[in-house]
Amino acid sequence: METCLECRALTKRFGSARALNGVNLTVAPGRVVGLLGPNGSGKTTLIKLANGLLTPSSGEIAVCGLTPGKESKALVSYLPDRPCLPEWMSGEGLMDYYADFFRDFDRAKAADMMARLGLREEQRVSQMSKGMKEKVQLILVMSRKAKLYLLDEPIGGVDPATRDYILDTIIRNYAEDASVVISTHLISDVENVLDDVIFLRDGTVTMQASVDDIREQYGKSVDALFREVFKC
Amino acid sequence: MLGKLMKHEFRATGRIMLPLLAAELILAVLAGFSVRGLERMEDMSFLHALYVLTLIVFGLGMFAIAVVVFVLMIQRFYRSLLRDEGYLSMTLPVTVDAQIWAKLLTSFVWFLAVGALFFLSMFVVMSIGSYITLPDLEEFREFWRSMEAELRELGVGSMALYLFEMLAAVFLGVCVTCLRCYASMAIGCSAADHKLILSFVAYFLIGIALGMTSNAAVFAVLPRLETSSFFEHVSPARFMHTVMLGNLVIGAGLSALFYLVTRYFLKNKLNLA
Repeated sequence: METCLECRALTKRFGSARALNGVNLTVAPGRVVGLLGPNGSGKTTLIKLANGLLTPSSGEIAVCGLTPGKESKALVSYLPDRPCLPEWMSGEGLMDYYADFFRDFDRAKAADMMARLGLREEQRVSQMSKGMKEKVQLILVMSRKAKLYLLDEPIGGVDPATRDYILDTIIRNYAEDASVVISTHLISDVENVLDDVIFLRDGTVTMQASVDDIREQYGKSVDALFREVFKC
Repeated sequence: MLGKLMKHEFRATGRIMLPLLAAELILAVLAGFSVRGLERMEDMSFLHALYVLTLIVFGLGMFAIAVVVFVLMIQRFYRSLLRDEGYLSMTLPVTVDAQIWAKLLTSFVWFLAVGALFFLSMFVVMSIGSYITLPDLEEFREFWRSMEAELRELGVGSMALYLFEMLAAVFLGVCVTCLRCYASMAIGCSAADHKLILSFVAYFLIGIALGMTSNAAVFAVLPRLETSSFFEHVSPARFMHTVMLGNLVIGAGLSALFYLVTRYFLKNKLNLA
């Protein structure tokens, strides 16, 4: 089966600084992968490259075998690490927007999730709180039947109850042949939902392994291993 | 997908532009009645001041709409493609070309709408203010015919062709204006910091480059024209059309250049904060 995400000798430079340095990794279908690393390790750069928001300095990146572009974007559902919804739009308008551009968008599912969270469709983004905006953004992203979900810090800056809801939403809503890549440094919160982890340090992959293998080989949790590996 | 992008672009801009255009048309009607009122009024009174104030507000409104349509053209490109909203719009399954065309065509329509509003509101003001009435359109047709006849006598050619060339020049002028702004923002926002300042710097550097190029072209061509017999053999009509055509070619060339620069930077150098 075709990999959902593949990087070969992927390097991204910003001037003289290397954000990613010869990254090699693969994400197989049906896996929930934690992209883990301290701040500035290159997680967001990698996700931006997969989304075609940046172009590699050298090396290759492929989403379901496609170079990032119009076709690959139809297969990726992306949650950025910041609010990106137009402030003037309402929940209803946003669902129209997603339905217009993404064939795999399930409007009924999005409307149902919004209703269950007590979000009013007619409410404008500008009238929503930060938490509400994050929820709406997540609902829109997870209401797609994408091949690859790229979630950049989906639980950063939200309260524990919302954190649980977000993780539950992610796990409940992705298709079996799809993969989910979650970038975060809040490892203990996501550990239970992860199948695999990728450790990034200074733009280099230092480890790619399954969570089960880590527990078996090191006899400790991913969170404990992360703290040990990235100890300051 | 271009159609869908434009649909949402019109939704984003229409909520601002449509009320403004409607308000200005209402102001035009009020200004028309003010003109009529002022004509019939001899003494200074509160009503007199109100009429004058209405005319001032109408004029300022027209100016404000021209500013708003320009600012909106810049703001929509900057905010929706190069700032946080870019994380959504630049990950849509559409090409960069579709993104640029959607912004350009939508802005173009609004520029045209503002141009049409200007003429329409002038017509409304003059109609209500009784300067001209509908039958006067026949006088306009007569004026047009006489102008055409005079131009033909002078050997300067068809007025309709001039009008077409002028309209084409205006259209291309709008394209060049929009695309120059887009290219400047795409260049400026490819930097890691100070994106807005660098966009302004790029805009002014483009201006300086254009100025230097046009000056160099003039200095290169003029001496040759002076020594050649070009002006002796060319008819006034041919000369005018050559100038107009040259203007259109330059406009098309600049539009293509700015489009390609914008496209290159959005595709290869996008650097969302």
